[in-house]
This record gives sequence, C-alpha cells and structure tokens, in this order.
Amino acid sequence: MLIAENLTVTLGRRPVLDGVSFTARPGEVTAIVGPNGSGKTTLLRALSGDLPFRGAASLNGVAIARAPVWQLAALRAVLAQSTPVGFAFTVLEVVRLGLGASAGRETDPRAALAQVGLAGYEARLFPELSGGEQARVHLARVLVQLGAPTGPDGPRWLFLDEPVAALDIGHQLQVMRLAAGFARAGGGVVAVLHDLNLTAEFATTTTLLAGGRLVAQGPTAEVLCDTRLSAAYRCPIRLNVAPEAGRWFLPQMAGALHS
Amino acid sequence: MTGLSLTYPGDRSARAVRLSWGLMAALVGASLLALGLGAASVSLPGVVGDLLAGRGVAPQDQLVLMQIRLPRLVLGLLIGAALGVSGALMQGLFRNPLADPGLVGVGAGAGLGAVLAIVLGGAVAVSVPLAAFLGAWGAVVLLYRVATRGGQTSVAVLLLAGIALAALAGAATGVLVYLADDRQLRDLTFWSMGSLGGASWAKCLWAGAFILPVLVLAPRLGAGLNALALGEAAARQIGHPVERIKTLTVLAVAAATGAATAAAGGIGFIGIVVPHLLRLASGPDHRRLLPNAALLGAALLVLADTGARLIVAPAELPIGILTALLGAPVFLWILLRQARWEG
Amino acid sequence: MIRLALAVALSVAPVIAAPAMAEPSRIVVLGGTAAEIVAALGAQDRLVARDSTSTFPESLTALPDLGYLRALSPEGVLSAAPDLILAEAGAGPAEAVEVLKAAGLPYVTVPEGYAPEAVAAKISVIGAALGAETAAAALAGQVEAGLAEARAKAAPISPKKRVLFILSLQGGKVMAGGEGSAAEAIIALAGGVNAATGFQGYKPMTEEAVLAAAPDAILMMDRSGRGAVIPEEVMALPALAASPAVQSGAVIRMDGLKLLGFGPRTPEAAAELRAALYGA
Repeated sequence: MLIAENLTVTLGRRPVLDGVSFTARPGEVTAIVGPNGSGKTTLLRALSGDLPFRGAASLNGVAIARAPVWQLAALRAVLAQSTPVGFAFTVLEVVRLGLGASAGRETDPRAALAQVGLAGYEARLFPELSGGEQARVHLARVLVQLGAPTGPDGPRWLFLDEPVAALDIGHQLQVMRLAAGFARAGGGVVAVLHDLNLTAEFATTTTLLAGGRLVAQGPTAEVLCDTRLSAAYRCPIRLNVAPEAGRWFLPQMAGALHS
Repeated sequence: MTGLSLTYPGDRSARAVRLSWGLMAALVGASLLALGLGAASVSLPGVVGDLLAGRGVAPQDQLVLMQIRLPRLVLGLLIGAALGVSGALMQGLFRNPLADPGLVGVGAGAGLGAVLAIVLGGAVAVSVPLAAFLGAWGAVVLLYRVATRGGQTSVAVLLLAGIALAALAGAATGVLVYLADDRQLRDLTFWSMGSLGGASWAKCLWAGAFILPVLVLAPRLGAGLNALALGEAAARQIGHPVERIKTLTVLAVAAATGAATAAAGGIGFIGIVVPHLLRLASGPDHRRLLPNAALLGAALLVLADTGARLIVAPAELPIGILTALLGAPVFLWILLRQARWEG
Repeated sequence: MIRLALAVALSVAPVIAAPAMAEPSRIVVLGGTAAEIVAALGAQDRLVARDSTSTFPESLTALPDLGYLRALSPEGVLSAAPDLILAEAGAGPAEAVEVLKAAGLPYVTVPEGYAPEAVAAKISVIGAALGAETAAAALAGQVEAGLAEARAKAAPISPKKRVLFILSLQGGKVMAGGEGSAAEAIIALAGGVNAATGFQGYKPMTEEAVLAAAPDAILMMDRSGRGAVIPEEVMALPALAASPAVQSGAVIRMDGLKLLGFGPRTPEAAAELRAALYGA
C-alpha cells in the first residue's frame, strides 16, 4: 500500500501542496489528474522521496521521508516528464543504468526494450532518438530497475509523471497497456495524467487535485463527473456527449498497436 | 567481468577494455621513450645490458637516469593521470564535455593558492601543494554552488562563473605579482606555463600522496557518475547516494588538480582532450572512462614532456605551451562538433 | 680599460695554469655577468655551454644555449659534460640546482649583488674556481680602481640630474627601477639621482607618480626585437611629455647587461652614462 496523510509541501513561502491525503493500492492504476499548477507533479515527487514534506507517507510500510535511497530504489521506480541524458550513451547503456544500485536484480535490458517496442534499438545513440523514442527508453530503464511487478518484499511501484506526453496515440495506448499489465500482475502504478480519456480507460482509482488541494479521490467513474471536472478545470466539461459537428475520436476505440 | 563475456549490440565495455590494454602498451612505450631520450647521451639498452651483466653503471648515467629522468617520468605519469581523471570527473559531475578544471577556474584557484604560498610562503605557514589544493577545492565548491539550482547544473552559468572566478583569481594573483620581486615575477611567468623541470623524488612523493588515492577512488565513482548523466533526481531514484558522489568527486578533483598544478604549474587541455577522445572511442561509461583517462593522460603528458625536453635541447620548452598548442585546436574542434550536434 | 684588464688576464693565465692539478676545462656558465667575468679572465675557450642571458662577449652566443637562467633543465646542463658549473646565485629552479649539486661536479655559486662592492667578490669567486687567482686579483683591482674613479667623478657633480630608469612599457604603463634596484645603483655611480622613489625593485608607476618624478633624463635598455622600449613611445607618454627629460630630448639607451650586470664593464657603463648625462 501507498498511504499518505496530510501532505504539505511549500516552495519558498507558498504551499504548493496543502494537506493532501492519498492512497494507492497494488494491482491498480491510480491516476492523479488536475489542471496545470494543481500540484500533481509535486505530489508525485513528494511520494518519490524527492521533496521534503510535512505529513506522513509510507510505501509498503516504509516511511518515505526517512528511507535510504537504495531502499526506496528497490521498491519503486520513477519516470519523470523528461530526462535529458548528459552524454552519448547507447540505448542499451541507458536502460542498464536502471540496474543501478539494486544489483542482483538481473533483468534483461533487451526484454524491457522489446516491451516498449524498441527491440533492435540497443546500439542506437540515445541523443539521436526522437522525443517519443527517448521517453520509451526511459520507461524500459524504469522497468529494468523494478525487475518484476512483485517480489519477496511485496508489490513494486511504478511512479509515472505524464508518461504519454511525448507520444503519439498508438504509443500512448501501448505505454498505458504496459502500465495496466504491470498492475494486473500485482504491481502498483501511480500516474500523473493530463489525458482524461486515457484516465477514464485505464485508471481504477483517480485523485483529482486543484490549487494544491484534494478535490476528490475514489473510483475513476465517480471522480470524473461533470461538476467536479468543471469546477477543478474552471471550464464547463461534459462527459459522454458527442459534439454535433467536426471529427472526434476516442482512444478507447483504437485497436492494438503493431499486432 | 571477463574478457570472454558475450557482448550485446550497444554494449561497448569490451571495446573499452581492449582500449585499456592498448593504452597500457602505449604508456609503457612512452615511458621507455622518456627514459631513453634526453639531452644527455645515455644508452638505455647499454645501461640495462650493464646491469644484467653485473657490471656497474657509470655514476653519470646513474645520476641522469635515477635522479633526473626517472623522477621526471614518475611525476609526469602522476600528473598526466591526475589531469585526465580530473577532466573526466568534472565533465561527469557537470554532465558536460566542456567542463575542464582548467577552463572553469579550478586551475586558476589552484594557481592562486600556489602563488600565495610561493610569494607569502614565510608569512603563511602552508606548503605550496596544500595551498593549491585548498584553492582548487574552494573554486570547485564555489562553482558548484553558483551553477547548480534545484539539482540542475546550468552550463552557461558554470562557464560564466568560471570566467569570473578565473578573473578574480587572476586579479588576486596580480596583487601578489605586484608584491613579488623581479625574480619571483619571472618564476611565476614560467610557472604559469607549466613544466616538469623541477621533478624530484620528494615532489613525486607529495604529489603521489594526493594523486594516487584519487586514481584508486575515481573508478568507484564511475557508476554514480553514469547515473548522474540522467540528472540528480533520477540518479537518486535509481538508488545512488548522489550527495556523497558529488562531494567525493569535488574532493577528488580538488586534490588531483591542486597537486598537479602545485607540482608542475598550469598544464592545460589534457583534462578536456583526453576524456573526449576516449568517449569517441568507447563511449561515456565512466567505469571504463576514468581508468582509461588516467592511462591516456599519463601517456600523452609523458610524450609531450619528452618533446618539450628534446625540441630545443639542451634547453627545454615549458610543457604547458606544448599541450596548449596541441590541445587548443582539438578543443575548438569539440566546440564545433557540439554546435553542429545541438544546432 | 677592459682591454687592459683582458691583456693582463691573458698574460697571467698560462702562468698559473701550470701548478693547478686538474684544472677545469669544460665549464658551464650560468648568468650573464659570470660569463663576462670568465671571458675577462681569459677562460672563454674553456666554456662549453652557457645560459640564455650570457651574451657578452658576442662570441659566447656560438656556445650551446641551456635556456633561461631561472628555468634550467638539469639534464641539459649535464649533457654538456662539464667539469665545473659556475652559476650565479639566481640560477634555478631550486630542484634543478639541487640535482646539479648532487651530481658530484664542482658547483660554484657566484654571489649576487647590484652594488659596486659586489663586483670584486664575484670576480674573486670565479677566479678561485678557475684557478686563476692572480688574474682575478688583477681584474678585481682594475675594476675597483675604475669604480673608485667613477665615484670620485660623481661626488662633486651638483646639481645631480634626476634619472628615471624605464624597464618596460606595459600598455603605456611605466615599469620603473625603484629603490634598491640595480638601476638605482648605476645611476648613483654615474652621478645621477634615481627619480623613482617610494617603492622597492621594479614596479609599474602610476601616471601621477611619473609626472611628479619629473626626470631630467630617461634611461632605458638598448634591446632590439620584441619587447624593446621605443624612445618615441616614451616621449609620447602624456605623463612624461612635460618633463625636462623629454623637453631636452634626454633619452639614453644602453646595453642592459653592461648597464645592470655589475661586472667588469660597470666602470665603463658608469662613465658612459655620466657622459650621456653631463657631457664629457
């Protein structure tokens, strides 16, 4: 379990996150949604142990604020919005960085690359890849860090900050299905998402933030309703209503990628 | 890891290991060249033959080999390795291939410390290497503080801060130069151009005391520096003790650069050219890059010093002039390449 | 005068050469003044190498150059296979000197000094090292006499002219010879007064200090090539334009080693400078 109570994070003198409580269960995809500046990324960074916070947070019973970095690294992996790489590493070398300090957890980096649809990219230089390809290489690195969705020490956790921002719709679905599969296999997934359609399709539980405060947390279908979304995003939002003119499509209606 | 392990596509570690063997061979060759060549005519095979045959070696030959060429070779190896490793460490820490201790003001800091000790030596009771070490350390810490915001190191700020720091150290050195007498002035001029001319066993001993621990420690920082290429947050998330890696790296650079600068003055461009060439040859993996940078730095510096001793023999060129002459064009080439890459 | 000293030295040298045991015959000289003294003692043909400051007499420049006096390479020095190293006290770096001293070769340090009294000491040390004591005594006597003569001629001069020695111009900044410098010593010996006061050694002067110095004459080294100070440049300096020196065109240039070396040619240098300052 991931349990956080009354998290407050201040940057300078401004509270960016104000008394937010949050839970996530293994075996589910938990989405964090909300408008820009609502504190989504801050919440994820606090839960990752990257930011100092007031309140209490624990992952599989381990206090996040006090745990040494190696212990957290064995429990959860974090995929940031973007991660520039300083030197011209090959794709294989970048993915292997995920093995990092958690030695002995020998995952085959090539299998992880195949999972994200980048088989055969091992020898390519990372800086020469497109933004979407780079994002997927990092996803493979994060998968390699965790090894498997569960281990003797309990479920392992994927923290994803806008994992699909750089991707086309086909790869968005591929990545979200991968995350859902990780959860189905017993792991925990916490994802900051901008895309409400993907949230609706993949998240079991959703947390809605606005202005650094918790608006709602619960089953996705309950949280994503017209009134809550309209209030949080400050614009009228209507669910399941098709526009009268123009073209529109839904990820829910897309087929499997490269089948 | 054995040399027989299977290599996957994209895995350049086997190539880096082969490169290490080649560099070791080059190092041995350069060392033999440095021992065998010089203004004095000493035949190395002759001396070795005499030793093997149990004959004594002429005292003059023994002096040239044991008191002049050998300490100079050892000092050259130490300093070349120190410069190569410092460059690779700095570049790893700042995630930028242009971060050379000499370019970003660390050398200037070390220089200021050394000049302080030379000119005010009597008044301030610190030895020259210690002063140079403290100067380098202060410069690295200051640079890192100034250029790093929220775990991200700004390279533009880094270079600007380096320029400011170099200017500051230059101004302070200027004050000392004003205090120095005519002769100290000329010494400082030659010192700033760098030379291994003052090599002695005593110098090897104290320079080695600073540099050898760094050479042993540096490869252990390799995995951490690799992770730092993803940024501090990501490195921490993977499980690396980032603060400790940063502190150790800064200390190592300060110790190695400080000792090298104090022992031989300003020798530029080894620290930037060596890691760059190695990254081109076998990739940026710091676990291999750091030991290889020590090997290549040592071999290059020993070769350059042999050149410095031979070109105008029986006089000699300041080695810093030679390394700058060879290194500056390579540096420009790196800049051009990088501009094209980013543009 | 010098020619006379030389003649004396040459005539005496063979006589004392005989009793000496193993007289050094392969000498390395480090330092311009020391080299000058060796030559004046008639031992120039025993020199095998020199440093880059040893440029007088001219014929020395044919010898191998071991580099600058303060940046010597011990192996370079040893490569000349010397049996005596004659080095001025300023030779360096210290580590190189240590190695040379450890080499087991006779290493003689020539004392330094930018005062007239120091010249005789330099000559006698070199004379002893060469085994040419008699010639050295004669040369030292000669130089002492010349110095005494210079002092005697300088003493009655009144008023004494104020002389500014300019070592170099750095971007229009005057690097002048202050108190305790060799330049001050030679100016005094020639009957002048150093116009640059208030600081020790060679330092850049502020323009106002140069203006206040108001020298009657400007003295410079006669160097050719790079770094040479050009009289026109000096005359064009605003701080000096109104000085008596520039107004009267009293800009004197002399050979640097002769002027500042404090060796056998110092009496000659004093006389030359005195003549340039006061005529005759």
